[in-house]
Amino acid sequence: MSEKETFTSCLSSGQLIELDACTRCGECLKYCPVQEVTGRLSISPPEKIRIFREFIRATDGLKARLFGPGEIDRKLLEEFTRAVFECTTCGACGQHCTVGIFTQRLWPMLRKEMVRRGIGPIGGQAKIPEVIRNTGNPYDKPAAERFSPWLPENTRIAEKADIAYYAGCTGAYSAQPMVRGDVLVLNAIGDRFTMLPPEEEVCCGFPLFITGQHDMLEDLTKRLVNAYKAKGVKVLLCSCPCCVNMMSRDWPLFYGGDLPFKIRHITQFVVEALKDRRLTIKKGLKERLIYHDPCYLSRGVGIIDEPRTVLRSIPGIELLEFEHHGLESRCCGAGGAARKVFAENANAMGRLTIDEAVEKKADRLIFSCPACYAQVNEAMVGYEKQITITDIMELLGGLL
Amino acid sequence: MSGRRMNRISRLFPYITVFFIIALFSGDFVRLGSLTFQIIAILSLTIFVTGFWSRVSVWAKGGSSDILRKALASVFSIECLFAYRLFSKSMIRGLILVLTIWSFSVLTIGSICLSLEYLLRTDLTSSGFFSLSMDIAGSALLLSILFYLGRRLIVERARQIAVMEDMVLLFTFLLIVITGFANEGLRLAYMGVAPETMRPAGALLAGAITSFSHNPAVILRVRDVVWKIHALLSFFLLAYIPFSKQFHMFAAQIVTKEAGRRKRELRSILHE
Repeated sequence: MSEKETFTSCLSSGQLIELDACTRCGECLKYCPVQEVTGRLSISPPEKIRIFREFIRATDGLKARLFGPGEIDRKLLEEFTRAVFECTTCGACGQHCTVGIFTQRLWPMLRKEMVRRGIGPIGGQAKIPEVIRNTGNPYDKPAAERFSPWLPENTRIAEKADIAYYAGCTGAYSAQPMVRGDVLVLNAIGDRFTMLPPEEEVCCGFPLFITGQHDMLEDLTKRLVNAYKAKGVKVLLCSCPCCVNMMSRDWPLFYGGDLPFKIRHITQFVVEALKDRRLTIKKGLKERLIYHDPCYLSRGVGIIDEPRTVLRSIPGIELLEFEHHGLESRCCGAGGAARKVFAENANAMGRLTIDEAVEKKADRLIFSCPACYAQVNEAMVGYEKQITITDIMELLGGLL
Repeated sequence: MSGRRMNRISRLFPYITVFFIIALFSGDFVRLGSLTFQIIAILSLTIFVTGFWSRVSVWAKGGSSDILRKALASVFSIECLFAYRLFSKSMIRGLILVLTIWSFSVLTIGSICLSLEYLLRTDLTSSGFFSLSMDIAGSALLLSILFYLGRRLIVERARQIAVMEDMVLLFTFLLIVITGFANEGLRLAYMGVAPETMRPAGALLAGAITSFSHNPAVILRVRDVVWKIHALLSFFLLAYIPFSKQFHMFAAQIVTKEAGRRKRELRSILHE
């Protein structure tokens, strides 16, 4: 592809306006976790926006229209690509943006443009489509091992049911105590639920979406939606914030209309069950817990109160908060499919989360996201500060 | 027209610009001033409209055909006019942004009135209310610009990302406001108007000017130069806005309104 070709084709009108709306006030610099750990200005949101705006000006500006597109500096293009793929897409910059730019959606679209131009993605991210095509998941693991290592014995999975549970690839392969906890809690609630067979429960598409590789998304979405539709599902439950985001925000676009079922995060379902007394927590816990809001759960789909309601329903616990929590939570380094490619950044961010939890004298750090869970566990390896890390459903599953 | 030919024509722009500036300032000698002023005004307005169209047509490439309607609707939204979003971050910055938006709007409307008055040869601006509004708006904008400049010097993260363009814009705004005040002071000093309550800043400056010189010819001469600098800088800014970062004054309105809607709807994503 010619470097002089337009840079606008992957962006919506709203996103093109957002690029022009940045005032370069610098507010976001206080909150960008990648900039915090790398200290590099090129990764900062205003710089990414400024440079991309320069690209657009070179190919679509008034001068380009009158005199033809200008030259784009290849080195600048490569530096920009690195910066946009190094970002964790946590969206903290957008949350604090004084204008209100929706960066959690803007960065993936800039990545998509770089992929379209053949410059992105970076490193192992480029293999994700092929791996998903071959195995159905981005971890290159066999489908046969998707459920077997963690699915509790005696779990009764209905052939058809109103409720379905989607484990997700990261949970199933990298955060198994979490998905095991999900199913233990579902079993305790006792409602009939169904699951797709392991070879049919393929990736939700989030890793492809977030790395700008959108070619397979329509196919994956239709396969999953039609499979759940065939099982008569009315509510699809999932505990992974990235999957929930993908399902609720993007599946309708790739499916081509409203989904035939509702999407719910598992904590929403548990809160309802606690309220209706279909679920009771029998054991107490004398511990100080600190809950980390996953970026794609809080800023992504607004699930902030439910996990806290679940935790507060455990007798004896004291719930602590991070300085930045809820919509303003700080990324633990797991986001944006960048944690393997930029592992050093991800571990540094994870350790900041551990540091704060330890400083607040929490006994346990609670997550509600398999990527956060896996990443912070990884960041703790060889680190001087240690804390017990537990997924919210893993904790609940052990107290029933 | 081919790109190469346009490129050759574009090389003439600096010479044309210099010609216009010389012609404007030589107005009293060769009587070209008024005509040149009008040509520059039309040129800068044309460049502004062309640049604006160019930016908006890039927005339209994203597939939305009702961009202008959305933009117009957003300009008049309460969240934008009262900077709700910034107020939640910082009371002072929110207040400064509100001052900027309102003072800039008042000064723009005032300048349009002055231009119409000149073109239509009719009285639109002689009321005390007009003078007072322009005085207050000018003072508010001056305060805002000094705040923005100071912030870029003092606050590290603002300094880190400041580029030359920011400084060019801020200093252009600053010079426009200063020459605007100076022009009003010189005008009042020339007319020999006594200090009035309805134009406090202008009267204050007029007092200061007359303490230096009482010679009406000198004051008139200086005023002519100051007024032309003020007009030229204003025309430059008008033409530059669509090509600069300052275009956020239009884009940010739409984005802020959309962000408000998104925030209200966030909870409904998984609750419908």
